[in-house]
Amino acid sequence: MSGVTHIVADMVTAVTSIQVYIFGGNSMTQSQITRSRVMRRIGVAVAATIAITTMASTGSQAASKPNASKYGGEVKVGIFDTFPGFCVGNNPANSSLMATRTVYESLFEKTRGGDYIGLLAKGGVPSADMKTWTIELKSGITFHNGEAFDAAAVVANIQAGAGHTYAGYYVAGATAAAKAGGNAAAQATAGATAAGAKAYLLGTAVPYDANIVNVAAGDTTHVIFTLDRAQNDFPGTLYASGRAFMRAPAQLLDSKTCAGTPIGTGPFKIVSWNTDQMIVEKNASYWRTDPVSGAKLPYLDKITFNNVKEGSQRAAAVRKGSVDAAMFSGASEGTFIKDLRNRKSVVTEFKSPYEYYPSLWLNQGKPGSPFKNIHARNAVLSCMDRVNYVKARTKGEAQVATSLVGKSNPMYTTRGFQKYDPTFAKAEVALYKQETGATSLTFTGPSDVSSTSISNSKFMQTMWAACDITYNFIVEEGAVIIAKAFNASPKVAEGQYYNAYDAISILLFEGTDVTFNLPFLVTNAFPATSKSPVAAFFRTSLGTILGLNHHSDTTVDTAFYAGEAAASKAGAETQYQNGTAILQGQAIMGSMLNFYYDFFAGKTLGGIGTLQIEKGKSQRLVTNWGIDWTGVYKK
Amino acid sequence: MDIARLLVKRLVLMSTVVVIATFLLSLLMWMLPGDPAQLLVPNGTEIIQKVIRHETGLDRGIFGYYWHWLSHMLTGDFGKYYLNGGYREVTEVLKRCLPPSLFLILYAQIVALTLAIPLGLISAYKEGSRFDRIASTVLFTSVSVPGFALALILSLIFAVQLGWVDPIGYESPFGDPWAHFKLMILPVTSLAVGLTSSYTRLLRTDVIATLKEDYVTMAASKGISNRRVLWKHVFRPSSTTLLTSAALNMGGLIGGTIIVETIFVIPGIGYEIAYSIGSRQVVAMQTLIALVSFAYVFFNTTVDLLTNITDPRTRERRV
Repeated sequence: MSGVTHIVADMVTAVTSIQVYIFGGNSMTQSQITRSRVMRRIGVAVAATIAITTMASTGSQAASKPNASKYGGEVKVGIFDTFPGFCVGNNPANSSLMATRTVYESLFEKTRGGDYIGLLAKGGVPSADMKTWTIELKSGITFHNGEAFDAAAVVANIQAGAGHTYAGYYVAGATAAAKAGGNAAAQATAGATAAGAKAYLLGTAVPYDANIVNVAAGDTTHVIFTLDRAQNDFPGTLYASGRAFMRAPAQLLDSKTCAGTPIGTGPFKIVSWNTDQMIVEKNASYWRTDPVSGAKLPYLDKITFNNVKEGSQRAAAVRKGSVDAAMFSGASEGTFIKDLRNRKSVVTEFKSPYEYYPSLWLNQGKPGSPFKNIHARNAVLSCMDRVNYVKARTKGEAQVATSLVGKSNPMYTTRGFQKYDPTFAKAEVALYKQETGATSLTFTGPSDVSSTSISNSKFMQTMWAACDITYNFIVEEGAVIIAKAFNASPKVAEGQYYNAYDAISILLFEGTDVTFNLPFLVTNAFPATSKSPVAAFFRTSLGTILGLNHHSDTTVDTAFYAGEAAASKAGAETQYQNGTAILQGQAIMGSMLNFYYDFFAGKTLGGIGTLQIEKGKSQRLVTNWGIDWTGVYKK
Repeated sequence: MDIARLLVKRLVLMSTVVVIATFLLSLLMWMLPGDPAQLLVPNGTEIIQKVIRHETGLDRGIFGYYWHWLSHMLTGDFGKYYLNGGYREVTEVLKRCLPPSLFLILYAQIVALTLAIPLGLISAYKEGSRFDRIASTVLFTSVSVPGFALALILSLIFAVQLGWVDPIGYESPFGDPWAHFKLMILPVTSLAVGLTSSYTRLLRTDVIATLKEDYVTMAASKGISNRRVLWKHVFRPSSTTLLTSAALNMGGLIGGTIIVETIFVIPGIGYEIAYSIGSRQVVAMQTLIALVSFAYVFFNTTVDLLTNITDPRTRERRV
C-alpha cells in the first residue's frame, strides 16, 4: 500500500505509469461534439443552458489583443516527476505529463464544465447505436517534422496504441509462413518474430483501447471508429485524461528513436531531454491562434521543466524566483503548499478540484491472498480510520473519502461504502478465521522507499493492528512496485501473478467522468464476447493487468458497460452508481481520501488559464498534469 | 623498487581489484529478486523481454552476462538505458553527468583542504588551548549534522531568507562562470563542512604524534622558526593519512553526492545512479557503479604511488 499512501509522491510514478493512457469521458455530455444529433439527445433545455453559459463566459473572459511585449521570454518550471520517454508505452507521470503536453496534443480536450471539446478534432458524431463514431479532424495542421496531421496519422496512432499494429505484423508473419508451407508451430514462430519488431508499441493503451474493433480513414479529415460495445463517451477515450497524444507517424515507425524523439503538433518543440529535465522551444509554425484576440500562439520562446524532487526546495525555488512556477501534490506536500499559500505577494496559487481518488485494491486473484474471502475484505475496509489519516498524514489538505470517487463523479454513491467500525472489523476477522481455518488475517502490500510512503504504511499498520489485522508492508522501489503490480507476463510456474501483492494503494481513479476509470474496474478489458481483432492476443496478458483487484464479479462489468451504453445522462449515472455500489458493497475495494494538485506561479507569469480552446470554452485550469502552457506569457 | 616497476605492479593490482569488484557487483545484481527484463519493460511482451535479455547478456548466466558487459565496456560501449521503444546510451548520460559531479567534488575538496590544513596544524600545535577546544567542538558539531539537513538549512537561510543565491540549479563554468560559482556555493558548502571536520581531526592527530618526534625537537633546538618547523618538518610526514582519506573521498564522492545533487538539482552522477537503481536499469546501474569502484581504486592507487614518492619511509620498508 505504498503506504497506503495514496499519495505517494513517488508513487505518483506509479500512478503515472498507470494513468497511462486514459480516457476521461464525461458521461453523456457531448455538447462539444458539435453536431445536432447529440444535441437532440441531450435536450433543448440543456442546450439552452450551455448556450447561456457560453455567452456569459465569452463575455467575462474576453481579452484585449495582446501587445508585442507578451511575446518572448524563457520560463523555468519545477516539477516532481521524471521523464520515462515519449513512445506509446512510456507513461509520463503527472507533472512530467504537463511538460510532454507542450509537444503533443490530443484529438479532444476537456472543458471546465466537464465537456469534451475538439482540439485536433473538429468534433465527433456517433451512430444511432453508438457503436460507430465518425471523428472529423481540423485541417492544415502539421507535425513538427512537417508530416501532415490527417486521418492516416490518426489511424496510425490508434492502431499502434491499441495493439492492432502489433497483431497485424503477427498475422502477416504467420500468413507468410503458411504460404511457405510451414506448420502451425512454424506459423506461430514466424508471427511472433514479425510482431516482435513492433512490440515496443505495446503498453497500457492496449487495454484502454480494447473497445476499438476497427479504425479507418474515411477521407483525409474523417476517421471512422468501429466499437465493440456501445459507448456514449467515446471522445473521452480519445482524450485519455490528456494522454492520448497524436504522434507523428515517423516517430512511431522507428523502434530505436520512438521513445527518445518526440514529434507532435504542439505549441512547443523538443530541444533536449533527460530523465530529470525537458527543454522545449517555441513552435514558430504552430497552428492555433487565440480565439478571442486572434493572437498567434504560443507566447513563450522556451520552457525548461526541471525535476526538483525535494518539495521544500521546489517551494524555495518558486519563492526565490529561481523557477517561474512549480507544481505540488496536495496529498503529500501540504506543508509547502500551506507555506506558499501565505505568500500571496510572491506567488499565485492555481488549484485543481479534489478530483483525484486513490484506492485500496484488494487482490482476489493472487494465490495465498486472503481477499478471496469477503469477511477478510470487510474487515480491512471497515478498519480504515480516514479522519485521523487525513489529519495526520496530509495535514488536513485532503478530503475524507465517502465513496470510491468524489461527489463530482457520476460514479459517486455512498451505498455499500465501508464506514470505520473497528468492532465490526474484529467480528469480520473472527468470521474469516472461522471460515478459512486461518489463525490470523495477515496480508502484504508495497511501500515505496520514500519516507512519506513508509510513514503512511506504518500508520496503516498500526490502524489495522487495532482490529487484529496484520499488515506486512514491503519497501520497494516505485519501478519495482509497478512492474510487480502490473505484470502482463507472470511466470506462473515460478509462483508469480499479474499483481504480486495482496493489496495495493494507488491512484487510478480521477475526474468527473467514468471513461478514465472504467478499464480499471472491469474483470478484463476484453470481455468474453469481444469482437476485437486483438482480443485473443491480449486477453490473458495486457487485457487483465489493469484491474488490480482481479475480481471475477461480472455484474460490475454489466453495470458499467450499461452506463456507457445508456441513452441519457441520468440513465448512465444510475448504472455507474449501481456498479460502484457493487464494488463497495462486496468490499472489492476501498478508499481513504480525495486530493488535489496545486500549481504556484511567480508574479512574472501571465495568461495562466485564460486561453480558450474556442470562444467560450476554456480548458480545465489545473489538473493532475498541471496547466496548459500555450497561452502563458511572461509579463 | 624503481618507480616503473611499482607503477606496473600497481596497475596490475588495480585491474584485478576492478575486475573482482565489478564481478561481485554483477553477482549482487544477479541475485536481486525479479527479472530485470521484466522490470525494464513492465508491459512488454515476452518477445521484447527476450530481446532485452539477449542484448544485455542476461540470458547467458552470470559469467556470460559479466563477460558480455566487461567486453563491451573495454571497447567503449558502456551500455544502454532501455526505454519502451528505444534506448539512450550510457555514454551520453556520462558526458552530461560526470562534469557537474567532478566540479562539485573538486570544489568541495579544495574548500575542505584549504580550511582543514591550517585548522589541523594550529589545533595540533596549540593542543589543549582554547582555540583547540573551540575548533574541536565546532568541527565535532558540524560533522554531526547530516548532510541533507545542512543542505536544507543553508538553502533556507541563504537562498530563501537572505536571497543571496539560488536554491537550485546548475550552470556550466564554460557558459556562465559567475552563475556556475554562485550556484555551487551551497552544494559545495554542504559537502565541504563534513569533509573539513574529518580532515582537520585526522591531520590534528597525526601532527600531534609527529610533534613528539625527536627530529622535530632537534629542528626546534636548532632555532628554526615554529612556522617553518610546522610546515616544513611536521606537515609533510603527517599528511599521509589526510592524503589517503582525501583520495578515498574522491572515489566515494563520485557516487556519494546523491543527496546534495538531488536537493540542489545538480544533474550529476549520483542522481543518475539513484535513478538507474530506482528504475532497475541494470546495465546502466552496473556501469555507473563500476565507475565509482574504478574511481575508488584509481585514487587509492594514485595516492599510494604519491605517498611512495613523497614519503621515503614507505618505500624503504625493512620487513
